[in-house]
Amino acid sequence: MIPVTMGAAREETRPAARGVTRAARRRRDALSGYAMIAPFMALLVVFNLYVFWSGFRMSLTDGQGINAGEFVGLQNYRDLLWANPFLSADFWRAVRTTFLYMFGCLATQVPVAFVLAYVLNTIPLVRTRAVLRAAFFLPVLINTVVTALLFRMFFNKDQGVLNHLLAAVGLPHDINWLMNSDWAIPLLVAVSFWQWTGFHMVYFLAQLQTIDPSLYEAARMEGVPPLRVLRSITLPLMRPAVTFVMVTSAIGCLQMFDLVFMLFPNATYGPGGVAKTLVAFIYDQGFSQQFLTGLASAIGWLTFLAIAGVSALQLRVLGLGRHGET
Amino acid sequence: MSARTSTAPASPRPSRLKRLTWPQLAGVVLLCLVGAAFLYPLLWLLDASFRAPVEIFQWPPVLVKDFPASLHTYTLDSFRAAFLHWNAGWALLMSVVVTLAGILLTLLVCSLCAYAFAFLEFPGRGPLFFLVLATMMLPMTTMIVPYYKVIRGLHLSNNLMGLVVPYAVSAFGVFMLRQYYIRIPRSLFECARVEGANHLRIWWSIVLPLSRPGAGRPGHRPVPPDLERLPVSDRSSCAASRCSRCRSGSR
Repeated sequence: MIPVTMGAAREETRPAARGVTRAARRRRDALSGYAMIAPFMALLVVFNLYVFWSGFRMSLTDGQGINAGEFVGLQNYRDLLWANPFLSADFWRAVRTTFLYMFGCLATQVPVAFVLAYVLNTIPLVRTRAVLRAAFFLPVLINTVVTALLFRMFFNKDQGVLNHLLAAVGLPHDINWLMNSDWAIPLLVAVSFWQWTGFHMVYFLAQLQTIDPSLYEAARMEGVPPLRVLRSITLPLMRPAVTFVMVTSAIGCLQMFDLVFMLFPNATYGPGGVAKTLVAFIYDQGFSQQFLTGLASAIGWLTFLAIAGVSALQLRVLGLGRHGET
Repeated sequence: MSARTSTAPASPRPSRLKRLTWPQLAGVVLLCLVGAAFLYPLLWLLDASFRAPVEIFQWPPVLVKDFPASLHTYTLDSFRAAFLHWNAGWALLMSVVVTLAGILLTLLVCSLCAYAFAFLEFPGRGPLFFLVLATMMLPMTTMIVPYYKVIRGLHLSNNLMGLVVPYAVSAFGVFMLRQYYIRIPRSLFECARVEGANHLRIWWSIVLPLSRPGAGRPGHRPVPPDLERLPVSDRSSCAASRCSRCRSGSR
């Protein structure tokens, strides 16, 4: 009732407010608007836009450490992409590792998360569903560093639980997981699978529950087979959620660093550095070996371009969610 | 394993399980198995945190080998070492301080900005909001080198503020709060405007209290709180109809 009277009041005051004060009020609104966004915008400019801009400028120099260095044009980019054989070999290997990791993650996490959410959604027992959802979500709450250390113990050759489990079921159990270059990337994918599948599942589950039950009811009355229901009702309506999960997790995968840094001992990024991702490469060049900040910034920009390209491609292929905020 | 046993199909609730169809029952069993596999590393970690190092890597696990007796060998030594020798307490305190300061700063800065984007008209509002959204796409991890230089240049390195201030720049926070604010009925503070409250005042007294998480369950329209309790203006509360404009409206 109160909102109604207030609405009426507003209607009545409008004509009076119009005219003389309107321009002044609008100017005042604009000024307060600028004043209110100013703190955020200042921080945004300093910590985001300026950082990106100065990263770009830095990538055109041969700066080392805190020395600004000389302007060298696109030399860093040229070195990375083809000119310097040692650097470009390392760079392309990092690109390969990062993309393999991303494909591995997307191919395992998204379908499994979808199936889990779908099955979970069919279970009518509310409390069982809540407990299971919590069980799948729990790994998300563990810090990546802790996760990596936990799995470092898990994959240990002689004392690790994994080899013990394999021995218990009679499989070969003398694999030195963390020291085998073939296994480095699959291990990263496996740990990420454990860590993130539940997160995607919860998102899918939330989206599944927004689907109007009357659609399913209608399909049931028409006698539509379950697979057809999945293909024609569930999947199209889940598209925004799938797009969101694919895009955000691809972006996250391409930036992966903490897991590979902590999973393998002594920051070696796997045996011979086979699992060195792009961000790990940045860290290596910029902070731990020779402090080549110019070069590291160039890798940063190339990584950024790769992320932007992958996101654009995914949005093009999967289509932007028509439901707005997904 | 406790979570698993409480949800396992054999648990003592046959009446409810009877209502499940066979595919549903198969789903429950499947999910319980997968869920147990997901929980296993965590339970192992929990168990290991109470054990002496010698016992941790034994096979079969000490907990399984002699179940009730193995509980007596639990020890708090690891926790003692963490707190007394490795200063875990201090680390925890620092985490809490940094997190709380970060949340506070983020809430103030982002909420202020979101208010302006939600309710105020000013030239350039659209492009500026788009700029904020666009920065959500910038992967800051790839810019760790210039980032470090900026933090250093502002004398924020080796300083807790270096962990707090940069995290206040949350484009996502602005976006989320704005989406929430535009659903707040404007009638809630139209009266305060008429009474002469400025935008800062409205933001602080009306919008900010409304963005408490209790009212802000995503996807729900905020429930207009009891208007009489809203501190709408200094002189009076609007719904008490002492405000002249509202009175004239209700007449």
